[in-house]
Amino acid sequence: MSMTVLTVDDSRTMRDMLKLALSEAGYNVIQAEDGIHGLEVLQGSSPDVIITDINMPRMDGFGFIEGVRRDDTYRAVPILVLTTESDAEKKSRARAAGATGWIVKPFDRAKLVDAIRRVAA
Amino acid sequence: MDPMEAIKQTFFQECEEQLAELEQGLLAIEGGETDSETVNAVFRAVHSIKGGAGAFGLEDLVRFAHVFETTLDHVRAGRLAPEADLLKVMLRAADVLADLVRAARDGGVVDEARCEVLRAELGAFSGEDETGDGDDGMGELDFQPLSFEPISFEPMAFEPTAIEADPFEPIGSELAFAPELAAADGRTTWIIHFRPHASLYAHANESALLLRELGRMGEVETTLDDSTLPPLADMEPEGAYLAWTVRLTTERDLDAIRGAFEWVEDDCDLKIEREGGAAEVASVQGPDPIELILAKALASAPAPTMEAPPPIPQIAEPAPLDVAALIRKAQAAEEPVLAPANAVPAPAAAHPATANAANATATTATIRVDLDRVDRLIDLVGELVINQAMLAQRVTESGLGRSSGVVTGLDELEHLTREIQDSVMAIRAQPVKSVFQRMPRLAREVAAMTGKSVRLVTEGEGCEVDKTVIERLSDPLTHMIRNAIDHGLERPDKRIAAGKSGEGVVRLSAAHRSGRIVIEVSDDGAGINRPRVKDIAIEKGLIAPDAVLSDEEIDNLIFLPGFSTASEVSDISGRGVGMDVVKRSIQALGGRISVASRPGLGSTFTLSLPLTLAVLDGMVVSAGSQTLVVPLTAIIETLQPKAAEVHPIGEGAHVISIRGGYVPLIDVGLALGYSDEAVEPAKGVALLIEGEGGARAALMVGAIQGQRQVVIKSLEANYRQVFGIAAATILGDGRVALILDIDALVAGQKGLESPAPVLRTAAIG
Amino acid sequence: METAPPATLALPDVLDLKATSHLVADLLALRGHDLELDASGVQRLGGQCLQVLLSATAAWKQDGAVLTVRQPSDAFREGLQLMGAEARLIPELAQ
Repeated sequence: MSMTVLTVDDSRTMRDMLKLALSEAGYNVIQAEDGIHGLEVLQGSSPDVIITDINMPRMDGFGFIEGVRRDDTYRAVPILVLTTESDAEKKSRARAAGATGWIVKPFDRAKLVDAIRRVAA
Repeated sequence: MDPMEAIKQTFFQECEEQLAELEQGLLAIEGGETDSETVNAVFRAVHSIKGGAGAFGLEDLVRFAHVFETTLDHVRAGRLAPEADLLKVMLRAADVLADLVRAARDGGVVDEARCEVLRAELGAFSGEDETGDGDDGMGELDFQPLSFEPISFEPMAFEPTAIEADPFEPIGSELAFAPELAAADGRTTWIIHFRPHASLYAHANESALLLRELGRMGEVETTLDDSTLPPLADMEPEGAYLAWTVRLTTERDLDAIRGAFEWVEDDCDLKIEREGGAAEVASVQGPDPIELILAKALASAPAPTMEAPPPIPQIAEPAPLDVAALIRKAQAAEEPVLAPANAVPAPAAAHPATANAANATATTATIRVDLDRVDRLIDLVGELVINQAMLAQRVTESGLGRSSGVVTGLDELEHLTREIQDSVMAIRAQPVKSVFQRMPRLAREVAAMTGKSVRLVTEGEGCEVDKTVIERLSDPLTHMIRNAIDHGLERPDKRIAAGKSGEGVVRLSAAHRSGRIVIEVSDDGAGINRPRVKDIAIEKGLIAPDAVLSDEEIDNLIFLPGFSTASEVSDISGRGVGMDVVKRSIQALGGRISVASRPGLGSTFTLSLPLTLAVLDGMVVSAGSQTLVVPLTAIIETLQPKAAEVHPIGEGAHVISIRGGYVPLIDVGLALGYSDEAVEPAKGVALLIEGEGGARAALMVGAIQGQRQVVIKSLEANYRQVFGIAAATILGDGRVALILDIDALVAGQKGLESPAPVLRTAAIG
Repeated sequence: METAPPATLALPDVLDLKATSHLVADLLALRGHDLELDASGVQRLGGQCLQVLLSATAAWKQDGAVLTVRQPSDAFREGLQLMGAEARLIPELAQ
């Protein structure tokens, strides 16, 4: 039974890269294109880990994380923030919103999978 | 294809979209839409290009995008006003970014000096020196496509409290310089004190998993401290009352150990010390007051592990060794495949539902499908349409009454079939936006080269048309826009002298009109210079010097092959392409082009194109024993010729006189070998058609059976290429009908055609 | 030893953040009785549920009642081991 990872990113390139890296690592991957779509996809699915971008149209990563944490069903799901922003301010905002950890783009596959493994039971 | 290579292609496609968005956004901002939505979209476009470029190690692109992004970030944050000067620079920067993307995609280089200049200009706006190599840390980071950011200390995050609360030397990066007191086997034993706060759990981190990470690094002995555990009834269920001390023997260094706690630094008390040496301590303290108590306790007891007995004495043998063994086992099982399947499985019941529900939701927005599959579907629907038509014909033949249930049912089926066909065609349809959005840049460049001032206005970008039509529309449109600016618009001084605004307007619009798409390119320039056009045509021998032509006829001269002249060719419009080529490519798409011009007011070129290349409006005719389809777009008019109008000109060839002009008369049955005898003019029908380059001819056929929409089936794909035949279709009665290749037919007779008569007949059209 | 059969509480599959409140309430409702915790279905054990279980052990001891963990799943035992708590909750398993 493989674990499911939900990735939320507005870039098709990034979605494809995540999908490739994660499915090759044996994860079941579901994807969304922005925060609002992410919350929609979340309903009716039960990802073991969520990976989200920050800069997205309609609803950014901060809003998405807050939305997930507000939902009792999903508040214990680990959320990793995937972003090119390496500055402390973005990280602390993401943390304040409820993020579990972060991965800095560009990522390599081993590190990505390792990050998931660290937070996934 | 290598999956990464495929993703790279996706990246470049996405770049194109983002570049378009960037340009549109910048133009919108220039037009006064400075709302945060627009600004953010522009920022995101550049940000996204940079992100992907970083992943593929495209350094030039990253470097330029980074500078651009920095400037945009200032605009986004309101530190820079999006004024005209800045927007001009950013629009040019967008062009450079586009060139960099294409250079990365297709190979080739972008003029480094040009990049440099724009980087400097952007940097000047954002107040940062971006020209040198002194890129900031973030830029550097992005240049590491395969490596990962080393887990770094962020001393800011914890040092202040550490200094205050901890009597030990606060440590930060300087710890790296401390000499390693490594054991003989290269392994060091560390003592890790870890007390999670409630916030650690609230962020969905988990002590058990953090401890598991330590276990992966080496041998661990884990001691649980539950001394602050409250009675069950007083317990805050989501509080945090436990602490752990882990004795870890590992070859990994302090950074690696800290790395395991990277995400929880603010959510726990953490102290890492080398066993036996209290001086080297890494400590992280969150804001929790308990941390202070702990720190003090640790200060008075420098080696707590030695003093701290297991809190509950009945532990005969400590669990630690088991843990280490267990973890090794887990690692062994897990690492080869990197498969999370071996980790603690998630609730079994949740999963099947997960997959299905997720698939269902994830696909709501858009899906990407192989074009082959869509084309296969279109093919099948084509078959369905044909099949339905055949069925209808059989039913009619069987003599069932019009009001019978079968016939009514068939009518409904036909309706449904058409609807399916339209829907399937719509899958291939795309908005013309993808072509239109390349034009603003072109307009800017042509304007810059010609010294003219242009405003390009686009309308109807949402109009959809078949993907292939869109792809083949780009070149003709490019040429037409160039032409409009280069030849259509006057220089600013002339415009002003003529009482117009110095800035010329070129309008590009698309609209759906009766099942076709109509695209117009118009300018508010001087209009076609008719005396000049006529002179050129005479000079080129395209018309007789004494030809009397209407204004419309003169305007249409520009579409003649050979009209485009050296004296008329400038740097921009030249390139050996004349309007005849434009016309030909439009006709190849089953389209038509026309021009209307008013002196002093400008010209309008109008393209009318079919929405799809999969169906065709045709006239069904018979020639000899064959049923043929003539594309309706090629037919100018149908004629009932009189014997007297047909004149033999030797070699079995004929011309027909039409209102004073002569055009070649082609007997289709003879030309294609379907009959041995020519149709008697009075008994047949002539179709006046226009082929490539405006060449006209009359096609002699036996009879006209009617007009209908037919589904095009490739003859080459199913049989082989046949002279004079473009494709085939299947009619309602099940017969295969061939679709005529007008251009080939006309070309086969070309020697007979002379320019002047052709022009005369133009008056008829 | 006992005359009345002990009560049984089946532990939920996932003993994470979200399970703690229920777990505390369920345990408090069973105080004063001998209790068997059925850990056979546990797939995940987190620190917060562990502290609830540890506190419950202390409470049962204080009450003079017996609290035992029955059929611990592998995942449950792994969780205990990771957190150095196996001996406290399942003394007979600690060798």
